Amino acid sequence: MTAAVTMEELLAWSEESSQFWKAHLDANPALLELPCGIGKAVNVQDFVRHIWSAELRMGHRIAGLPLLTAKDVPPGPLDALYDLHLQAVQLFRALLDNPTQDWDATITFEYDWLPPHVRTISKRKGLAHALFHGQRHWAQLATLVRSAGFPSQFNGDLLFSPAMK
Amino acid sequence: MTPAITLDELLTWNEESSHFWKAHLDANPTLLELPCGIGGNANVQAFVRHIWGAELVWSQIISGFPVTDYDIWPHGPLDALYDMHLSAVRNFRALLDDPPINWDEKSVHYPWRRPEAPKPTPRKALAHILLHSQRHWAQLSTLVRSQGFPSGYLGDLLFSSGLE
Repeated sequence: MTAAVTMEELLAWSEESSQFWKAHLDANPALLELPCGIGKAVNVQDFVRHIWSAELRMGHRIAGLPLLTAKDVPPGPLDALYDLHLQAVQLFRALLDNPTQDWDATITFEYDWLPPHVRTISKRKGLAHALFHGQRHWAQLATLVRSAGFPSQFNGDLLFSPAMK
Repeated sequence: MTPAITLDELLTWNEESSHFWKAHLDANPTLLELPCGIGGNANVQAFVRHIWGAELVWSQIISGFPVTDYDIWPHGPLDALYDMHLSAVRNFRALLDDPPINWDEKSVHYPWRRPEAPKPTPRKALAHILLHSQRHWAQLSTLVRSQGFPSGYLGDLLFSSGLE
């Protein structure tokens, strides 16, 4: 058997991380105004908006639904941004629960700034990318808030997640 | 069939990231002296030592080998640190090529495990350490850019040739 991490496990880990940051930012709303700069986000709220809207966009791509435009994504408040994540999770779960879903089927990005060899990928890679994309950014956010003087105690490593045994 | 990402694919992605940073730090050695602070590391070189040393130690733990003590990990130069990564990759590949291993047995004991913490499976332990590095490379990318030295690192899985 080839050892692997299932998408269900990655999704559960993703949910844990998002729940942590939603609660932490709810409890410390001043953090949302911290300057950011990662991925051109001007502040933490904008960065979180990027993370959660990217999840939903990928969900829409995999499902073959119309894509969000910039004006479809609210600038805030945090609850509205978190709702993007919740919608993405709901969509990912529906896709994972669909036994007819073809995960080897491809999706194609229309962005000309992407290297040509990654513009067409499998839906499996698309989902894994979306889930890791969030984890990489949460790690960056943990560093950002700590370096600004506000350590979060985020234990983001997979080792700490009950999503995987 | 449940979609999944294999540990082989994660290992390939991991190697790509390490290759990038080895080459980038070889080409820009002054970056190694930048102050860091992540994980208590004083500078980028110490941070990279943490990333690759952790890979080596976890590869030994999962393999059931004696663990290289933190105090005798090399502090540098970069080539010596990278050797820890290369050793870890050899151990990881041997594990992945070993059919008898029970990937789902909660059998991995690591020395700093708290008594109440469950033993992870080899599958989780290997996934953890491969992704531990990815999370830290993402932080390093931000660190060097914030200090005026953007790396051009494309660390997302999207850019990996490890899976289609």
